[in-house]
Amino acid sequence: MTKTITIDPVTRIEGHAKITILLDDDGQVADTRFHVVEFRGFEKFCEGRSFWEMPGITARICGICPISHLMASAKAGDAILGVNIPPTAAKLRRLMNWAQTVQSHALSFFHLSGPDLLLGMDSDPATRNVMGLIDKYPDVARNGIRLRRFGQKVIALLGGQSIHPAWTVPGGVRDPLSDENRSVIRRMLPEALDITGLALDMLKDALDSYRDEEAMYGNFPSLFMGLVTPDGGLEHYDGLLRIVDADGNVLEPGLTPARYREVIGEAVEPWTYLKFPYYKPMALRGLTGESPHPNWYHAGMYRVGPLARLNVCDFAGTPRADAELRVFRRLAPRSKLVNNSFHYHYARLIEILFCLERIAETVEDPSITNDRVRSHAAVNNLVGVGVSEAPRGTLFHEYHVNEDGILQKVNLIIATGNNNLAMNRTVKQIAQFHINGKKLDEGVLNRIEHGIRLYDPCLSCSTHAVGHMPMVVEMVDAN
Amino acid sequence: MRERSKLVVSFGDCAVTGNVPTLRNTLGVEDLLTAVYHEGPGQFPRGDEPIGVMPELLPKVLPLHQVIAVDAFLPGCPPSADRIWTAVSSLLAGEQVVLKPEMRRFG
Repeated sequence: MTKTITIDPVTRIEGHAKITILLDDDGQVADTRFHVVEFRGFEKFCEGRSFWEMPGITARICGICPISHLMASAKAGDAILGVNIPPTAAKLRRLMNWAQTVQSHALSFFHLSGPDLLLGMDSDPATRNVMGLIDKYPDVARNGIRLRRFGQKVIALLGGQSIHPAWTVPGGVRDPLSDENRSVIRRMLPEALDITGLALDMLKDALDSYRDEEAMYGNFPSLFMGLVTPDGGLEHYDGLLRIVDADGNVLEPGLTPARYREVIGEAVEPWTYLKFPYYKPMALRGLTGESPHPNWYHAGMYRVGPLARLNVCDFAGTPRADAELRVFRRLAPRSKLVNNSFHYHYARLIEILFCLERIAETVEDPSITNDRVRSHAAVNNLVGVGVSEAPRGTLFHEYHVNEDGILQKVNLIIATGNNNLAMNRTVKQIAQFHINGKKLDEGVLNRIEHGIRLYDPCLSCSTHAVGHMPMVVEMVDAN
Repeated sequence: MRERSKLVVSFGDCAVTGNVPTLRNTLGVEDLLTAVYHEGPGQFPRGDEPIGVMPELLPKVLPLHQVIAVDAFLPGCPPSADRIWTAVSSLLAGEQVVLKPEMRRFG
Protein backbone atom coordinates (compact mmCIF):
# COMPACT_ATOMS: atom_id res chain seq x y z
CA MET A 1 0.00 0.00 0.00
CA THR A 2 1.34 3.36 -0.92
CA LYS A 3 1.33 5.99 1.75
CA THR A 4 2.23 9.54 0.86
CA ILE A 5 2.73 12.19 3.46
CA THR A 6 3.70 15.66 2.35
CA ILE A 7 4.90 18.58 4.41
CA ASP A 8 4.84 21.73 2.39
CA PRO A 9 6.51 23.97 3.20
CA VAL A 10 9.07 22.80 5.68
CA THR A 11 11.06 25.71 6.92
CA ARG A 12 14.29 26.80 8.55
CA ILE A 13 16.88 25.75 6.02
CA GLU A 14 18.08 27.81 3.05
CA GLY A 15 16.95 26.54 -0.34
CA HIS A 16 14.51 24.01 -1.81
CA ALA A 17 14.54 20.36 -0.82
CA LYS A 18 12.45 17.28 -0.54
CA ILE A 19 12.87 13.99 1.29
CA THR A 20 11.45 10.64 0.20
CA ILE A 21 11.33 7.71 2.59
CA LEU A 22 11.05 4.22 1.09
CA LEU A 23 9.26 1.69 3.32
CA ASP A 24 9.39 -2.08 2.87
CA ASP A 25 6.34 -4.34 3.25
CA ASP A 26 6.69 -4.44 7.03
CA GLY A 27 6.65 -0.67 7.29
CA GLN A 28 10.37 -0.54 8.00
CA VAL A 29 12.50 2.17 6.45
CA ALA A 30 14.29 0.65 3.45
CA ASP A 31 15.93 3.76 2.11
CA THR A 32 15.68 7.52 2.15
CA ARG A 33 16.61 10.20 -0.34
CA PHE A 34 17.34 13.83 0.20
CA HIS A 35 16.49 15.62 -3.05
CA VAL A 36 17.74 19.09 -3.83
CA VAL A 37 15.38 20.39 -6.46
CA GLU A 38 16.86 23.66 -7.64
CA PHE A 39 19.47 24.52 -10.23
CA ARG A 40 20.87 27.67 -11.84
CA GLY A 41 24.00 26.74 -13.77
CA PHE A 42 26.61 29.29 -12.66
CA GLU A 43 29.46 27.03 -13.77
CA LYS A 44 28.26 27.20 -17.36
CA PHE A 45 26.84 30.70 -17.76
CA CYS A 46 29.95 32.36 -16.32
CA GLU A 47 32.00 31.06 -19.24
CA GLY A 48 32.88 33.92 -21.57
CA ARG A 49 32.83 36.54 -18.81
CA SER A 50 35.86 38.18 -17.21
CA PHE A 51 37.29 36.72 -14.00
CA TRP A 52 37.24 40.27 -12.58
CA GLU A 53 33.43 40.05 -12.48
CA MET A 54 33.36 36.76 -10.60
CA PRO A 55 33.31 38.05 -7.00
CA GLY A 56 30.26 40.16 -7.83
CA ILE A 57 28.48 37.41 -9.77
CA THR A 58 29.22 34.44 -7.52
CA ALA A 59 28.30 36.41 -4.38
CA ARG A 60 24.75 36.31 -5.81
CA ILE A 61 24.80 32.54 -5.42
CA CYS A 62 23.72 33.20 -1.84
CA GLY A 63 22.39 35.99 0.36
CA ILE A 64 23.35 34.18 3.58
CA CYS A 65 27.05 33.67 2.95
CA PRO A 66 27.95 35.92 0.00
CA ILE A 67 31.19 36.72 1.83
CA SER A 68 32.38 33.14 1.43
CA HIS A 69 32.00 33.36 -2.33
CA LEU A 70 33.63 36.79 -2.36
CA MET A 71 36.63 35.30 -0.53
CA ALA A 72 37.05 32.16 -2.65
CA SER A 73 36.46 34.09 -5.87
CA ALA A 74 38.92 36.86 -5.01
CA LYS A 75 41.50 34.26 -3.98
CA ALA A 76 41.09 32.44 -7.31
CA GLY A 77 41.61 35.88 -8.90
CA ASP A 78 44.77 36.46 -6.83
CA ALA A 79 46.11 33.18 -8.22
CA ILE A 80 45.33 34.21 -11.82
CA LEU A 81 47.13 37.52 -11.27
CA GLY A 82 49.99 35.63 -9.59
CA VAL A 83 50.27 38.17 -6.77
CA ASN A 84 50.75 38.12 -3.04
CA ILE A 85 48.14 40.53 -1.72
CA PRO A 86 49.33 43.18 0.79
CA PRO A 87 49.45 41.78 4.37
CA THR A 88 46.85 44.29 5.57
CA ALA A 89 44.45 43.22 2.80
CA ALA A 90 44.79 39.58 3.91
CA LYS A 91 44.09 40.58 7.53
CA LEU A 92 41.05 42.62 6.47
CA ARG A 93 39.68 39.74 4.41
CA ARG A 94 40.13 37.47 7.41
CA LEU A 95 38.31 39.98 9.58
CA MET A 96 35.34 39.99 7.23
CA ASN A 97 35.38 36.20 6.92
CA TRP A 98 35.29 35.72 10.71
CA ALA A 99 32.46 38.26 10.97
CA GLN A 100 30.58 36.31 8.33
CA THR A 101 31.02 33.06 10.26
CA VAL A 102 29.71 34.75 13.42
CA GLN A 103 26.55 36.06 11.73
CA SER A 104 25.82 32.86 9.82
CA HIS A 105 26.38 30.56 12.81
CA ALA A 106 24.22 32.85 14.99
CA LEU A 107 21.45 32.61 12.39
CA SER A 108 21.70 28.81 12.33
CA PHE A 109 21.79 28.33 16.10
CA PHE A 110 19.32 30.93 17.33
CA HIS A 111 16.90 31.44 14.44
CA LEU A 112 16.85 28.18 12.48
CA SER A 113 17.58 25.45 15.05
CA GLY A 114 16.78 27.41 18.24
CA PRO A 115 13.02 26.76 17.96
CA ASP A 116 13.64 22.97 17.89
CA LEU A 117 16.17 23.07 20.71
CA LEU A 118 14.33 25.44 23.05
CA LEU A 119 10.64 24.99 22.25
CA GLY A 120 10.98 21.25 21.58
CA MET A 121 11.10 19.14 18.42
CA ASP A 122 7.52 18.01 19.01
CA SER A 123 6.09 21.39 20.04
CA ASP A 124 3.25 23.08 18.16
CA PRO A 125 4.49 23.71 14.60
CA ALA A 126 2.47 26.93 14.44
CA THR A 127 4.77 28.56 17.00
CA ARG A 128 7.90 26.44 16.47
CA ASN A 129 9.70 29.28 14.75
CA VAL A 130 11.59 32.44 15.54
CA MET A 131 8.38 34.29 16.44
CA GLY A 132 7.51 31.57 18.96
CA LEU A 133 11.01 31.90 20.32
CA ILE A 134 10.61 35.66 20.75
CA ASP A 135 7.37 35.04 22.59
CA LYS A 136 8.67 32.45 25.03
CA TYR A 137 12.38 33.25 25.37
CA PRO A 138 12.64 36.94 24.44
CA ASP A 139 16.13 37.32 25.92
CA VAL A 140 17.56 34.40 23.96
CA ALA A 141 15.91 35.56 20.75
CA ARG A 142 17.18 39.11 21.27
CA ASN A 143 20.68 37.80 21.94
CA GLY A 144 20.60 35.84 18.70
CA ILE A 145 19.56 38.92 16.78
CA ARG A 146 22.24 41.04 18.49
CA LEU A 147 24.99 38.50 17.78
CA ARG A 148 24.01 38.21 14.14
CA ARG A 149 23.88 41.98 13.95
CA PHE A 150 27.46 42.16 15.24
CA GLY A 151 28.70 40.07 12.32
CA GLN A 152 26.62 41.93 9.75
CA LYS A 153 27.75 45.28 11.15
CA VAL A 154 31.46 44.39 10.93
CA ILE A 155 30.92 43.32 7.31
CA ALA A 156 29.15 46.61 6.57
CA LEU A 157 31.88 48.67 8.28
CA LEU A 158 34.50 47.02 6.08
CA GLY A 159 32.65 46.64 2.81
CA GLY A 160 30.00 49.35 2.83
CA GLN A 161 27.03 46.98 3.04
CA SER A 162 26.34 43.75 4.90
CA ILE A 163 25.12 41.65 1.95
CA HIS A 164 27.01 41.54 -1.36
CA PRO A 165 29.61 44.24 -0.57
CA ALA A 166 31.69 44.98 -3.69
CA TRP A 167 34.85 45.03 -1.60
CA THR A 168 37.01 41.94 -2.09
CA VAL A 169 38.69 42.01 -5.50
CA PRO A 170 41.43 39.97 -7.19
CA GLY A 171 44.61 41.46 -5.66
CA GLY A 172 43.14 42.52 -2.30
CA VAL A 173 40.30 44.72 -1.11
CA ARG A 174 38.96 48.06 -2.30
CA ASP A 175 38.98 50.10 0.89
CA PRO A 176 41.09 50.09 4.06
CA LEU A 177 39.65 50.12 7.58
CA SER A 178 39.35 53.58 9.13
CA ASP A 179 40.38 54.31 12.72
CA GLU A 180 36.82 55.29 13.47
CA ASN A 181 35.33 52.02 12.21
CA ARG A 182 37.98 50.06 14.04
CA SER A 183 36.81 51.70 17.28
CA VAL A 184 33.21 50.78 16.49
CA ILE A 185 34.17 47.10 16.13
CA ARG A 186 36.15 47.28 19.39
CA ARG A 187 33.14 48.69 21.25
CA MET A 188 30.75 46.01 19.97
CA LEU A 189 32.95 43.04 20.92
CA PRO A 190 32.22 42.65 24.67
CA GLU A 191 28.49 42.16 24.15
CA ALA A 192 29.07 39.60 21.37
CA LEU A 193 31.48 37.64 23.58
CA ASP A 194 29.02 37.69 26.50
CA ILE A 195 26.17 36.39 24.33
CA THR A 196 28.34 33.57 22.99
CA GLY A 197 29.38 32.54 26.51
CA LEU A 198 25.72 32.43 27.59
CA ALA A 199 24.73 30.38 24.55
CA LEU A 200 27.52 27.87 25.20
CA ASP A 201 26.44 27.47 28.83
CA MET A 202 22.82 27.07 27.75
CA LEU A 203 23.65 24.34 25.23
CA LYS A 204 25.97 22.45 27.57
CA ASP A 205 23.31 22.51 30.32
CA ALA A 206 20.77 21.08 27.88
CA LEU A 207 22.94 18.29 26.45
CA ASP A 208 21.68 15.71 28.95
CA SER A 209 18.16 16.07 27.62
CA TYR A 210 19.35 15.33 24.07
CA ARG A 211 20.88 11.85 24.55
CA ASP A 212 18.66 10.23 21.87
CA GLU A 213 19.48 12.94 19.38
CA GLU A 214 23.17 12.68 20.20
CA ALA A 215 23.05 8.91 19.61
CA MET A 216 20.86 8.80 16.51
CA TYR A 217 21.07 12.08 14.59
CA GLY A 218 23.97 11.53 12.26
CA ASN A 219 26.07 9.38 14.58
CA PHE A 220 28.31 7.32 12.30
CA PRO A 221 31.96 7.16 11.32
CA SER A 222 33.04 9.23 8.31
CA LEU A 223 36.02 11.15 7.07
CA PHE A 224 36.31 14.84 7.94
CA MET A 225 37.80 17.62 5.82
CA GLY A 226 38.78 21.19 6.57
CA LEU A 227 41.51 23.79 6.27
CA VAL A 228 44.17 24.04 8.98
CA THR A 229 46.98 26.53 9.54
CA PRO A 230 50.48 25.29 8.56
CA ASP A 231 51.02 24.28 12.20
CA GLY A 232 47.65 22.51 12.47
CA GLY A 233 45.43 25.20 14.04
CA LEU A 234 41.80 26.06 13.26
CA GLU A 235 41.60 28.04 10.01
CA HIS A 236 38.83 29.68 7.95
CA TYR A 237 40.45 31.79 5.24
CA ASP A 238 43.59 30.11 3.93
CA GLY A 239 45.93 27.29 4.92
CA LEU A 240 46.18 23.63 3.99
CA LEU A 241 43.57 20.97 3.30
CA ARG A 242 43.49 18.22 5.90
CA ILE A 243 41.46 14.99 5.80
CA VAL A 244 41.21 12.62 8.77
CA ASP A 245 39.21 9.44 9.40
CA ALA A 246 36.71 8.75 12.18
CA ASP A 247 39.43 7.51 14.55
CA GLY A 248 41.56 10.56 14.00
CA ASN A 249 44.06 8.95 11.62
CA VAL A 250 45.39 11.62 9.27
CA LEU A 251 44.90 10.69 5.61
CA GLU A 252 45.91 14.04 4.11
CA PRO A 253 48.00 16.04 6.59
CA GLY A 254 48.27 19.25 4.60
CA LEU A 255 47.45 19.24 0.91
CA THR A 256 47.90 22.47 -1.05
CA PRO A 257 44.24 23.41 -1.68
CA ALA A 258 44.85 24.02 -5.40
CA ARG A 259 45.46 20.26 -5.73
CA TYR A 260 41.96 19.38 -4.43
CA ARG A 261 40.97 17.55 -7.62
CA GLU A 262 43.59 14.89 -6.93
CA VAL A 263 41.62 13.76 -3.88
CA ILE A 264 38.02 14.94 -4.41
CA GLY A 265 35.70 13.48 -7.05
CA GLU A 266 32.06 14.49 -7.70
CA ALA A 267 29.47 11.79 -8.42
CA VAL A 268 26.06 12.51 -9.95
CA GLU A 269 22.69 10.89 -9.19
CA PRO A 270 19.56 11.23 -11.33
CA TRP A 271 17.27 12.16 -8.42
CA THR A 272 18.93 15.35 -7.19
CA TYR A 273 20.61 18.42 -8.63
CA LEU A 274 23.19 18.34 -5.84
CA LYS A 275 26.37 16.47 -6.72
CA PHE A 276 28.04 14.01 -4.34
CA PRO A 277 31.67 14.87 -3.66
CA TYR A 278 33.75 11.99 -2.29
CA TYR A 279 37.33 11.32 -1.18
CA LYS A 280 38.83 9.51 -4.15
CA PRO A 281 41.46 7.23 -2.54
CA MET A 282 38.85 5.67 -0.22
CA ALA A 283 36.05 5.52 -2.79
CA LEU A 284 38.16 3.88 -5.47
CA ARG A 285 38.65 0.85 -3.21
CA GLY A 286 34.95 0.15 -3.80
CA LEU A 287 35.48 0.09 -7.57
CA THR A 288 37.06 -3.37 -7.69
CA GLY A 289 35.52 -6.32 -9.57
CA GLU A 290 33.51 -6.39 -12.77
CA SER A 291 30.26 -4.93 -11.52
CA PRO A 292 30.94 -2.44 -8.76
CA HIS A 293 28.14 -1.59 -6.36
CA PRO A 294 26.14 1.49 -7.52
CA ASN A 295 27.03 3.18 -4.26
CA TRP A 296 30.75 2.48 -4.59
CA TYR A 297 31.68 6.12 -3.94
CA HIS A 298 29.90 6.18 -0.55
CA ALA A 299 33.10 4.79 0.99
CA GLY A 300 34.59 8.22 0.29
CA MET A 301 31.97 10.03 2.42
CA TYR A 302 33.32 12.94 4.40
CA ARG A 303 31.85 15.76 6.46
CA VAL A 304 32.80 19.44 6.40
CA GLY A 305 31.76 22.49 8.44
CA PRO A 306 32.09 23.37 12.13
CA LEU A 307 32.20 19.76 13.42
CA ALA A 308 34.73 18.73 10.78
CA ARG A 309 36.93 21.79 11.35
CA LEU A 310 37.09 21.10 15.08
CA ASN A 311 37.91 17.45 14.31
CA VAL A 312 40.70 18.07 11.80
CA CYS A 313 42.59 20.78 13.71
CA ASP A 314 45.13 20.03 16.41
CA PHE A 315 44.11 23.10 18.40
CA ALA A 316 41.99 26.23 17.93
CA GLY A 317 44.60 28.89 18.62
CA THR A 318 42.74 31.34 20.91
CA PRO A 319 42.51 30.93 24.71
CA ARG A 320 38.76 30.64 25.30
CA ALA A 321 38.07 28.56 22.17
CA ASP A 322 40.90 26.18 23.09
CA ALA A 323 39.46 25.72 26.59
CA GLU A 324 36.04 24.95 25.07
CA LEU A 325 37.59 22.63 22.49
CA ARG A 326 39.14 20.53 25.26
CA VAL A 327 35.70 20.11 26.87
CA PHE A 328 34.13 19.37 23.48
CA ARG A 329 36.60 16.59 22.73
CA ARG A 330 35.60 14.75 25.90
CA LEU A 331 32.29 14.01 24.14
CA ALA A 332 34.13 11.26 22.28
CA PRO A 333 35.27 8.82 24.98
CA ARG A 334 36.11 5.83 22.80
CA SER A 335 37.03 7.14 19.40
CA LYS A 336 39.26 10.14 19.13
CA LEU A 337 36.82 12.28 17.17
CA VAL A 338 33.30 13.52 17.76
CA ASN A 339 31.28 11.56 15.18
CA ASN A 340 27.80 12.81 16.13
CA SER A 341 26.38 15.36 13.74
CA PHE A 342 24.10 16.58 16.54
CA HIS A 343 27.20 18.29 17.88
CA TYR A 344 27.39 20.58 14.86
CA HIS A 345 25.39 22.95 17.09
CA TYR A 346 28.01 22.85 19.83
CA ALA A 347 30.86 23.14 17.33
CA ARG A 348 29.18 26.18 15.77
CA LEU A 349 29.15 28.02 19.11
CA ILE A 350 32.82 27.24 19.76
CA GLU A 351 33.63 28.60 16.32
CA ILE A 352 31.72 31.82 17.05
CA LEU A 353 33.86 32.22 20.16
CA PHE A 354 37.03 31.57 18.16
CA CYS A 355 36.06 34.10 15.47
CA LEU A 356 35.26 36.78 18.05
CA GLU A 357 38.59 36.23 19.81
CA ARG A 358 40.40 36.44 16.47
CA ILE A 359 38.53 39.64 15.55
CA ALA A 360 39.43 41.14 18.95
CA GLU A 361 43.08 40.29 18.41
CA THR A 362 43.21 41.51 14.81
CA VAL A 363 41.62 44.93 15.38
CA GLU A 364 44.47 45.63 17.85
CA ASP A 365 47.07 44.91 15.16
CA PRO A 366 48.79 48.27 14.47
CA SER A 367 48.98 47.52 10.72
CA ILE A 368 45.24 46.86 10.36
CA THR A 369 44.49 50.45 9.29
CA ASN A 370 47.26 50.64 6.66
CA ASP A 371 45.97 51.92 3.36
CA ARG A 372 48.00 49.63 1.09
CA VAL A 373 45.36 47.01 0.47
CA ARG A 374 45.52 46.07 -3.20
CA SER A 375 48.13 44.54 -5.52
CA HIS A 376 47.81 45.37 -9.20
CA ALA A 377 48.73 42.97 -11.99
CA ALA A 378 47.46 41.52 -15.24
CA VAL A 379 46.79 37.86 -16.06
CA ASN A 380 49.89 35.83 -15.20
CA ASN A 381 48.38 32.36 -14.72
CA LEU A 382 45.67 30.71 -16.80
CA VAL A 383 44.29 28.69 -13.89
CA GLY A 384 43.35 29.99 -10.45
CA VAL A 385 41.96 28.03 -7.51
CA GLY A 386 40.54 29.82 -4.47
CA VAL A 387 39.65 27.81 -1.37
CA SER A 388 38.26 29.07 1.92
CA GLU A 389 36.10 27.82 4.75
CA ALA A 390 32.52 29.01 4.44
CA PRO A 391 30.43 28.74 7.62
CA ARG A 392 29.07 25.44 6.26
CA GLY A 393 32.42 23.99 5.14
CA THR A 394 35.16 24.04 2.56
CA LEU A 395 34.41 26.08 -0.55
CA PHE A 396 36.28 25.67 -3.86
CA HIS A 397 36.30 28.08 -6.82
CA GLU A 398 38.40 27.01 -9.82
CA TYR A 399 38.70 29.28 -12.87
CA HIS A 400 40.38 28.64 -16.22
CA VAL A 401 40.94 31.81 -18.28
CA ASN A 402 42.55 32.81 -21.56
CA GLU A 403 45.30 35.45 -21.91
CA ASP A 404 42.66 38.18 -21.71
CA GLY A 405 41.19 36.86 -18.49
CA ILE A 406 38.04 35.52 -20.15
CA LEU A 407 36.69 32.44 -18.38
CA GLN A 408 36.94 29.20 -20.35
CA LYS A 409 35.88 26.82 -17.59
CA VAL A 410 34.54 27.17 -14.06
CA ASN A 411 34.22 24.54 -11.32
CA LEU A 412 32.64 25.26 -7.96
CA ILE A 413 32.36 22.83 -5.05
CA ILE A 414 30.18 24.42 -2.42
CA ALA A 415 30.36 23.71 1.28
CA THR A 416 26.93 22.08 1.57
CA GLY A 417 27.62 19.81 -1.40
CA ASN A 418 30.53 18.24 0.49
CA ASN A 419 28.04 17.12 3.13
CA ASN A 420 25.57 15.58 0.66
CA LEU A 421 26.44 11.94 1.41
CA ALA A 422 26.43 12.59 5.15
CA MET A 423 23.09 14.45 5.02
CA ASN A 424 21.50 11.51 3.18
CA ARG A 425 22.95 9.10 5.72
CA THR A 426 21.67 11.23 8.60
CA VAL A 427 18.14 11.39 7.23
CA LYS A 428 18.10 7.61 6.90
CA GLN A 429 19.41 7.07 10.43
CA ILE A 430 16.80 9.36 12.00
CA ALA A 431 13.99 7.90 9.88
CA GLN A 432 14.93 4.37 10.89
CA PHE A 433 15.12 5.32 14.55
CA HIS A 434 11.78 7.10 14.70
CA ILE A 435 9.57 5.50 12.06
CA ASN A 436 10.14 1.72 12.33
CA GLY A 437 7.05 0.25 13.94
CA LYS A 438 5.93 3.57 15.34
CA LYS A 439 3.18 6.02 14.59
CA LEU A 440 4.22 8.74 12.22
CA ASP A 441 3.36 12.25 13.39
CA GLU A 442 4.42 15.79 12.58
CA GLY A 443 7.03 15.78 15.34
CA VAL A 444 8.81 12.83 13.73
CA LEU A 445 8.93 14.61 10.39
CA ASN A 446 10.32 17.67 12.10
CA ARG A 447 13.01 15.51 13.68
CA ILE A 448 13.98 14.22 10.24
CA GLU A 449 14.22 17.81 9.03
CA HIS A 450 16.31 18.67 12.06
CA GLY A 451 18.80 16.09 10.78
CA ILE A 452 19.21 18.32 7.75
CA ARG A 453 19.27 21.52 9.83
CA LEU A 454 22.28 20.18 11.77
CA TYR A 455 24.37 20.77 8.67
CA ASP A 456 22.87 24.26 8.24
CA PRO A 457 22.74 23.52 4.52
CA CYS A 458 22.55 26.26 1.99
CA LEU A 459 20.88 24.51 -0.90
CA SER A 460 20.74 27.60 -3.08
CA CYS A 461 24.49 27.75 -2.75
CA SER A 462 25.17 24.11 -3.23
CA THR A 463 23.39 23.78 -6.55
CA HIS A 464 24.19 27.39 -7.33
CA ALA A 465 20.41 27.61 -7.67
CA VAL A 466 17.83 30.20 -6.73
CA GLY A 467 14.90 30.31 -4.40
CA HIS A 468 13.47 29.91 -0.91
CA MET A 469 12.73 26.95 1.14
CA PRO A 470 9.72 24.68 0.87
CA MET A 471 11.02 21.25 1.82
CA VAL A 472 8.55 18.45 1.15
CA VAL A 473 8.61 15.15 2.98
CA GLU A 474 6.67 12.43 1.21
CA MET A 475 6.42 8.73 1.84
CA VAL A 476 6.03 6.00 -0.74
CA ASP A 477 6.30 2.23 -0.32
CA ALA A 478 9.16 0.13 -1.66
CA ASN A 479 7.39 -0.42 -5.00
CA MET B 1 0.38 31.96 -5.35
CA ARG B 2 -1.25 34.99 -6.96
CA GLU B 3 -4.72 33.56 -6.46
CA ARG B 4 -4.10 32.92 -2.78
CA SER B 5 -2.49 36.29 -2.02
CA LYS B 6 -4.01 39.70 -1.45
CA LEU B 7 -0.71 41.40 -2.22
CA VAL B 8 2.36 40.20 -4.10
CA VAL B 9 5.57 42.22 -3.87
CA SER B 10 8.34 41.73 -6.40
CA PHE B 11 11.15 41.62 -3.84
CA GLY B 12 14.75 42.26 -4.92
CA ASP B 13 16.51 42.62 -8.25
CA CYS B 14 16.10 38.95 -9.24
CA ALA B 15 12.32 39.24 -8.94
CA VAL B 16 12.19 42.69 -10.56
CA THR B 17 14.54 42.11 -13.51
CA GLY B 18 15.68 38.47 -13.41
CA ASN B 19 19.22 39.71 -12.64
CA VAL B 20 22.08 37.16 -12.39
CA PRO B 21 19.94 34.00 -12.92
CA THR B 22 18.93 35.31 -16.38
CA LEU B 23 22.54 34.93 -17.48
CA ARG B 24 21.55 31.36 -18.36
CA ASN B 25 18.85 32.49 -20.79
CA THR B 26 21.16 32.45 -23.80
CA LEU B 27 21.81 28.74 -23.20
CA GLY B 28 19.39 25.86 -23.73
CA VAL B 29 18.34 23.86 -20.67
CA GLU B 30 19.78 20.64 -22.15
CA ASP B 31 23.13 22.26 -22.90
CA LEU B 32 23.27 23.75 -19.44
CA LEU B 33 22.57 20.50 -17.61
CA THR B 34 24.91 18.54 -19.87
CA ALA B 35 27.71 21.03 -19.28
CA VAL B 36 27.36 20.91 -15.51
CA TYR B 37 26.78 17.18 -15.00
CA HIS B 38 28.26 15.28 -17.97
CA GLU B 39 31.63 14.56 -16.36
CA GLY B 40 29.93 12.29 -13.83
CA PRO B 41 30.48 9.57 -12.71
CA GLY B 42 26.78 8.70 -12.54
CA GLN B 43 23.57 9.27 -14.45
CA PHE B 44 22.77 12.95 -14.58
CA PRO B 45 19.46 14.48 -13.46
CA ARG B 46 17.35 14.14 -16.62
CA GLY B 47 14.71 11.66 -17.72
CA ASP B 48 11.55 10.28 -16.15
CA GLU B 49 12.80 9.65 -12.64
CA PRO B 50 14.16 13.11 -11.88
CA ILE B 51 11.16 14.74 -13.51
CA GLY B 52 8.98 12.69 -11.18
CA VAL B 53 10.61 14.06 -8.03
CA MET B 54 11.99 17.40 -9.16
CA PRO B 55 10.47 20.36 -10.96
CA GLU B 56 11.65 20.65 -14.55
CA LEU B 57 13.70 23.69 -15.41
CA LEU B 58 11.81 26.32 -17.41
CA PRO B 59 13.39 27.35 -20.72
CA LYS B 60 14.02 30.91 -19.50
CA VAL B 61 14.31 32.78 -16.23
CA LEU B 62 11.71 35.58 -16.19
CA PRO B 63 11.06 38.59 -13.97
CA LEU B 64 8.06 37.98 -11.71
CA HIS B 65 5.77 40.58 -13.33
CA GLN B 66 6.05 38.80 -16.68
CA VAL B 67 4.38 35.78 -15.10
CA ILE B 68 1.87 37.25 -12.63
CA ALA B 69 0.59 40.72 -11.77
CA VAL B 70 2.49 42.28 -8.86
CA ASP B 71 1.37 45.07 -6.52
CA ALA B 72 4.73 46.64 -5.73
CA PHE B 73 8.36 46.54 -6.83
CA LEU B 74 11.21 46.57 -4.33
CA PRO B 75 14.55 46.77 -6.17
CA GLY B 76 17.97 46.16 -4.59
CA CYS B 77 20.38 43.27 -4.19
CA PRO B 78 19.27 42.96 -1.48
CA PRO B 79 16.68 45.71 -0.82
CA SER B 80 17.93 47.73 2.15
CA ALA B 81 16.14 47.67 5.50
CA ASP B 82 14.91 51.23 4.81
CA ARG B 83 13.27 50.17 1.57
CA ILE B 84 11.59 47.18 3.21
CA TRP B 85 10.38 49.42 6.07
CA THR B 86 8.98 51.98 3.63
CA ALA B 87 7.15 49.31 1.64
CA VAL B 88 5.71 47.47 4.64
CA SER B 89 4.60 50.73 6.30
CA SER B 90 2.79 51.84 3.14
CA LEU B 91 1.13 48.47 2.62
CA LEU B 92 -0.03 48.31 6.24
CA ALA B 93 -1.53 51.80 5.86
CA GLY B 94 -3.31 50.60 2.74
CA GLU B 95 -1.35 53.00 0.56
CA GLN B 96 0.49 52.50 -2.69
CA VAL B 97 4.23 51.87 -2.27
CA VAL B 98 6.12 54.94 -3.47
CA LEU B 99 9.89 54.73 -3.11
CA LYS B 100 12.04 57.86 -3.08
CA PRO B 101 14.25 58.16 -6.17
CA GLU B 102 17.39 57.07 -4.25
CA MET B 103 15.55 53.91 -3.17
CA ARG B 104 14.83 52.88 -6.75
CA ARG B 105 18.39 51.96 -7.70
CA PHE B 106 19.34 48.40 -8.60
CA GLY B 107 22.26 46.56 -7.01
